Amino acid sequence: MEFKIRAAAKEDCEEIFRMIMELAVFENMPDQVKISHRELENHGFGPNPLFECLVAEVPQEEKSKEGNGIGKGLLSKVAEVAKTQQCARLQLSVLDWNTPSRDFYSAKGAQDLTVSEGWHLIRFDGENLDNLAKEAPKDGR
Amino acid sequence: TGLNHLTETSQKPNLPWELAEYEKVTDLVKIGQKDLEQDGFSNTPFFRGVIAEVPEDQKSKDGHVKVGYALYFFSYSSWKGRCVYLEDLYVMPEFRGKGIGKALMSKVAQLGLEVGCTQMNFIVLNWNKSSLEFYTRQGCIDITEKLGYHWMSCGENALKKLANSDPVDES
Repeated sequence: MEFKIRAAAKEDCEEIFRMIMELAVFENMPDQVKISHRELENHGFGPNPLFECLVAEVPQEEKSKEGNGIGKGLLSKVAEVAKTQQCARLQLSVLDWNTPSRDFYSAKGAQDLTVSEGWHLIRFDGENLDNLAKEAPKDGR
Repeated sequence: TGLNHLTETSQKPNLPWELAEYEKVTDLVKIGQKDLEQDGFSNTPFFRGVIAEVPEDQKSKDGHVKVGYALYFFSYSSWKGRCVYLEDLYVMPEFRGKGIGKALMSKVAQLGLEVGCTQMNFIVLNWNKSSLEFYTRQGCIDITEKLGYHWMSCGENALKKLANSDPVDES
């Protein structure tokens, strides 16, 4: 299957958001998506981008078919961008029940640090984040 | 309790090395002071830092007034938007139990909220019970425990291999 990988443009945000929702549905957490494609447009394509993004496209005649090698192509391109920025690591999180994805990343050389070293991902959000911030000392800057 | 002030800093002490000693992984520290200076304080900083300082008369046994730090950077959640990633949080052993760690963490949370972040994420070793308890007391969630997310990492070799394989670039 022929496909192209390129840097995302502002015009891609609606389609990217469609796929963000599809991924969230797959992860069984669609209600957790709190942003819209507008935030993606503003946050990714304004004067100070907060993220970078790649898209994979197939030719018109191949639309809506299963592809092979596209996920790998995207991941490789991210790794290539990382190398040009002298990054030492690429990190991500994956759900424990998501065996196909865990196998995919393992095959590409990713180490599961939760399993091998016991790292746990911890998060503050909502009220807990607000409460934590309120306790910051006032002096200094 | 003697905590002078938290300042965003233009100089980095040797604290990341001490943190690596605590985590028992000093041979894994591949960068040096120069890398920190370059990566944190050039035109496109890859991280930001907050330092905890004590007054001169309360300095450490070996004469340090900079006794703790937090190293963080801004990241992005495709579900929630802007977030903060807390990479390091460290207080020298003789200054623990005085609220300095909490103050550092709160400062990073505050700085994050100021720019619209809705999440602060970090990782903790599962054997580090005292840290896990500290964080739980502040109200955070163990995403690995609760939702089943595993933290994955591609190191330098895997990254090289991935970057060099199957060129499909058409930019």
